[in-house]
Amino acid sequence: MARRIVITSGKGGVGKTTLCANIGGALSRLGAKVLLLDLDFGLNNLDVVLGVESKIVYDILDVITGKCRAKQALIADDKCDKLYILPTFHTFNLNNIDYEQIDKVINEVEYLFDYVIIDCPAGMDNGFARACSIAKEAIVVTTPHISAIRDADKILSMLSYYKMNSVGVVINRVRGDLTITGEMIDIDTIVDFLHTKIYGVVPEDDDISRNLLMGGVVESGEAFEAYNLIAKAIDHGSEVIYDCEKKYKGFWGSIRRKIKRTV
Amino acid sequence: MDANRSIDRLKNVLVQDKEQNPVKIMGILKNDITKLLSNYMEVDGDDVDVNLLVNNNGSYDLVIKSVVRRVKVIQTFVG
Repeated sequence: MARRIVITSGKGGVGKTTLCANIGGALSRLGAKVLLLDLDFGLNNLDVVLGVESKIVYDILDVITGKCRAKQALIADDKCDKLYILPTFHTFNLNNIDYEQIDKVINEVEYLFDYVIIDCPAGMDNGFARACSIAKEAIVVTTPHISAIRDADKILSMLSYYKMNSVGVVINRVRGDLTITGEMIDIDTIVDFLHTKIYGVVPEDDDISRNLLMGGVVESGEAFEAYNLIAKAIDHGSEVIYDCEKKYKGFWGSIRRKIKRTV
Repeated sequence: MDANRSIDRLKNVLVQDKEQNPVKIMGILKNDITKLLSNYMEVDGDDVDVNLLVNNNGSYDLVIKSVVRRVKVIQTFVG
């Protein structure tokens, strides 16, 4: 049985899909076989983030309606050889798909994988309920901004209804140069407020933006290290968290801070 | 610094959200607590007061207050 982990946030735009792709990549680098499942129906973007949108032949709707088998719809990632994605449909769809239908699809291919990572849509209505009903574990993504933290807090309350085996938080888009000067809410405060274990933090990194241009998982830089640490935390409970402030401490760090500000 | 003011705002927002949240559960909780208490003592449901308050850390303080008319004698206490 694969570990089924939903990545959710409540608020949109905090980096669920990017995190989903890159945690999948990091887990596959640890040797795990990973399936990424996009459940953001109609607003699918996981395929674009991974850069495999041109390879899609079948999607999950074709599997549900019996046009193909689940295995045929899987797409292998170019960069990570143990990473696969099951794309969602991109058309406006008026059929109501419930979680049992999706569950059936996952059951069909689950034996091939160690992890099924589920990309949840923003919000806390039907799409969220569907994604959470399928998952056994949850990762709540937030950023160091009040609106995102507030939504994460509500989502954490909602998750208690789904009886998850484990729930953890990832704080995305952290600016070490700003937390160090007290211009951004620091990690410890967020963790205190959310009363939940933390899987890791991801620094705001230009490499992510650069990567999104052509698609594909991040393969170097600060965010790459951070994703690897998060994968270790998920995989075997390592408690090492990426230090976003490391680069901005000390003499050279203060210069780096000033440069970042003036350029 | 600015972050500290922001943290105060965050705290206020979280506390406000939580004050509205647990309304539904309170009735059920009060019934269950009354039932539990009546195993050991004579209580009237109207005298049981269950309050959930949000504290400064964003967690809850549960306050149970009740008037008890008589504590029941239970077999194990007698011997």
